[in-house]
Amino acid sequence: MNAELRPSVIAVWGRDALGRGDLEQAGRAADLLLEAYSRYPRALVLRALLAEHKGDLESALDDLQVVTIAEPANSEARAIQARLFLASDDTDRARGAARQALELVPSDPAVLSIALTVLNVDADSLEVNAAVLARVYMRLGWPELAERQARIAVSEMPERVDVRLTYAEALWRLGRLSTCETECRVVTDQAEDCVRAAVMRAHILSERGRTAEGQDLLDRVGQIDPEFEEARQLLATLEVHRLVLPELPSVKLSDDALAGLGAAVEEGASLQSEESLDDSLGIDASSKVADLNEAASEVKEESGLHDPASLRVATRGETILQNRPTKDRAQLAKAVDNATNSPGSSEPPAEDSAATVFSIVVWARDLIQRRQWHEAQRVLSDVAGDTALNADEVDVLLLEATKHLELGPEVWKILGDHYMRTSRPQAAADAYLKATTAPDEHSE
Amino acid sequence: MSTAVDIHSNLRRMEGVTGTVVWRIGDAPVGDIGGVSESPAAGLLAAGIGSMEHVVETIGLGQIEELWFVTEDAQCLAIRMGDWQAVLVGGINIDIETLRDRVTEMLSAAQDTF
Repeated sequence: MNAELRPSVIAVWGRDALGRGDLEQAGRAADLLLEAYSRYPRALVLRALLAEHKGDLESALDDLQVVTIAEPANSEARAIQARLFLASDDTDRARGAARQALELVPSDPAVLSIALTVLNVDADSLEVNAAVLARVYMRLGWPELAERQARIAVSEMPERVDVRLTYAEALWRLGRLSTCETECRVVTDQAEDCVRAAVMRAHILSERGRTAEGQDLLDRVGQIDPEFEEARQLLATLEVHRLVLPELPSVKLSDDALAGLGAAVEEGASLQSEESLDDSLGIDASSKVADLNEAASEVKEESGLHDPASLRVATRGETILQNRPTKDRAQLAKAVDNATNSPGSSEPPAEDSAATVFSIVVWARDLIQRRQWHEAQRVLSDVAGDTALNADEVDVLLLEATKHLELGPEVWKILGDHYMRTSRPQAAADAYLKATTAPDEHSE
Repeated sequence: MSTAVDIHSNLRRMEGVTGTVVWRIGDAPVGDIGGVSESPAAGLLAAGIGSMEHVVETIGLGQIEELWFVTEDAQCLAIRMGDWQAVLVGGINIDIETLRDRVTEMLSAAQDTF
């Protein structure tokens, strides 16, 4: 019989192991998570830190690049990037990443510390620009002011995805969904796997009566953010919405693994070690662990699940910095060992990660593959209307779609519209002609 | 509502008009033929005229500004002004001259606005 743990819990444990200097256990935690969720940002950050420790700066930067595409507002990832760039003697990029980390207004003092160190400045010499103000206002729950500053920031820094994402979110919170959608599309053009933009787009689709497509897009978010943390955060601000958040996933562990964790659960120890997690790696995961534990607890309560096998989490009111007994650490280590070494110990491997998750072209193909004809038709119409996409890519997709009779003559019309938009009237005429004759072919 | 939709609505209300298609170069055509909206017939007519334009330009005769044809049951008038194009379909007895003036006026206004 298998038991299960939340991915975020395993990620926290992995960071804890890293902080203790147990690179092997940390590596196993990262491998376990990435086998199930190949783009999970927390797992990628863990792997990046491990790579940094081994001196493999290139691999670390590659992983962080994936993280910052999925989470452009991840200040920790930016700060670590800055440190890695500095170690690679790329001062310009180091300073750029550090500045970006600071403008994301990190709540983690260690992230702040890394960025300030890279820039070699004190906190009071930092410039407060429109991007910073936008984020601060957003955090304070003042979307009107956030929108105003974010708009200025976007005009000053149009290449900055995180700034545009803040702008999109401000628009979303103000209910300006059409403009939000436009900005989300631009964000997705630059950062195809951006989770937050995808959640907003999913909500907008559902508000437009396209709930099935919105739900489908939201479900795809889970390929990157398996616990839908960003989605829960955003949708929790709404009084009502039509989307359904999937059940929280878990990584299967064998009985031995669960037994190893069970003792820790019963004793109610936190995952925090007494020693500071700052020491060797300069990352203060201690407050992050507390934050994550609290978030996991809240999520657990919200979902109504009371899985006795789940790790108990320490809330803010409890003493966080408890000395974790060595015995517990050993059991936890054994649990991860068993999980990674036993067959079938994790969720099935994530799908091929070569294609981006939220690419509208990939999404359309996926809907066709899953025979969701009605939703596919609508997304194909969106594809044809998206002038930012590569015309050749759209040609290929629409021509593939015409092979599926279930999509009906409408897909030929969509192809015809696409050819007209790209100034190919002869091809458009052929496609429209097929659209008018297709029903007759079906009836034969 | 986009300008193409507005122009289509305005043309469609004109007396004797049984179908219209409006589009801007680089956009998909908007319209209906015989009251069936979103049907491919409107796009087919627009694409057919677009193909004719392409042929005429290719053989060096310049850009078609106006195209008119008549069948036993209908008249069809297509006008191009800058990036904007409109096609009207009406009965055999419609006042093509008045319609031409109205269409030209609307497309000219659209051209100036965008």
